[in-house]
Amino acid sequence: MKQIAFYVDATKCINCKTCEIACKDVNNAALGVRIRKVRTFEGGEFPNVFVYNISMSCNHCEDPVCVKNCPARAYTKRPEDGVVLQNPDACIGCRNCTWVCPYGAPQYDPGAGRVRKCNMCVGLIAKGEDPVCVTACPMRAIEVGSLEEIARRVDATISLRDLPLPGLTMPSCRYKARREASGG
Amino acid sequence: MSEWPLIAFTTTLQLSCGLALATTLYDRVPRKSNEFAVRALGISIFPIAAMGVLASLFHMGRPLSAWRALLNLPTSRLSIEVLLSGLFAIAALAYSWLWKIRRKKGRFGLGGAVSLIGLAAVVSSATVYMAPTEPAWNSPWVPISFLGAALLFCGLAPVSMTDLRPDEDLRRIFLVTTASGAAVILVSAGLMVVRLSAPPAGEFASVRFHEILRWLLSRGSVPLGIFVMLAGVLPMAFAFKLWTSGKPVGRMGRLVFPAALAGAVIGRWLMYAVGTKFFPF
Repeated sequence: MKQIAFYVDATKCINCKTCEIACKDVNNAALGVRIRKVRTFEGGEFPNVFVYNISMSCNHCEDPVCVKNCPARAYTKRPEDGVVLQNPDACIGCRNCTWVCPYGAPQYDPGAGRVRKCNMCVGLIAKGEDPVCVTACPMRAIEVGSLEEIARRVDATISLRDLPLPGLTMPSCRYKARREASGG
Repeated sequence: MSEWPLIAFTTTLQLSCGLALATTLYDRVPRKSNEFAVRALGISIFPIAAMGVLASLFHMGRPLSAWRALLNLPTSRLSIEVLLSGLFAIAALAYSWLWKIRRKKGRFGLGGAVSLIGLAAVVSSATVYMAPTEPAWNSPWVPISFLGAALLFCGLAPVSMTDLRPDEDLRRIFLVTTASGAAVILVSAGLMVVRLSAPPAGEFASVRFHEILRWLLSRGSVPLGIFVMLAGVLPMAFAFKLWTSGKPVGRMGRLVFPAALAGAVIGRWLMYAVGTKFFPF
């Protein structure tokens, strides 16, 4: 099965959160609902300290636990490109997906009583355009493409020290991060 | 924390399952106890189960679409939990009705079936939390604590509420059940701390477990202590005292059941706190 994926160059990310704001804007997400999130991680010991930023939304995992665990079948994984879609109209707001996803990708909107998550802007992709987080990033740190091609890049990894073990869900996203951040 | 509906649901499910087991035993073993109180326990099983199911709806963002939770039975543990809990509530309605109309024919068989469905529902509700992606819950301490609570309620409710006489076999059975349930709850509390002390591989889980354990042993230590005392130590001491003294339950003894119930609720609150207080990424 073909799988499209995000590639985030964390060495370029300056934590400006433009991707997060663009995503919120296009999805009309409520206050507190962060479909894409940028987080900063620190590590090391003085004087060898380091910091890096990770921009993450749904990883569109190869083995998505949200699809398996949603009791209302609100999640589907598209066979043509591996994008994990969530249908808000089918969501019953049980929040089970927010517990089982180790990346916190599904976001509960208390006002609407349902969960939202990244759908990789499939409407834009169908028109041959990039998702809004990709076009909004001023550092050009986010890309989208075929996982096969992205995974071949020398620095591409999903195994970062501050992320859950990738074997849990086999996320499709890949990162380029500084050497100290690898592991996990 | 917004998990109070689930705390109410899981606790009432275990309470009604325990009561179903207890009243089924009442039908099997000869007794001399207060018929009115036993009947009240039998009748109360359905309202308690129904209250739990009703409370669980308030956890949902869209309660009117709750029926959709049954759509993914092949792969979703939550769907199975909803199915079994619903079946339990329906079976409990018939069983409580038999107690209400004082009909003994078929009551023991139905009670056994209700108890089995109830136990299956309790186990399935525990498996919902045992996801590999949620390492704080993915451990035997969760199902052990759920089953321990059902066992505790099964023994403690009749001992505390139905004037069982000291020479009755049933009283001895329920005292052993009470002590066993309390012991299982203490074991589950210990396993929870042990689990949080030994994080799985990876920096991410290690940091997260460290935060949870630090919270549990500082601000969480008071509710943890109350939970252990009320749902573990107190019922166990109560059971040993009654066993050795051979005296009937006094007025203070009646308070042990509500105290243990409160302890179980606090314990369940702790379970949700350690699992949801420190969300991932």
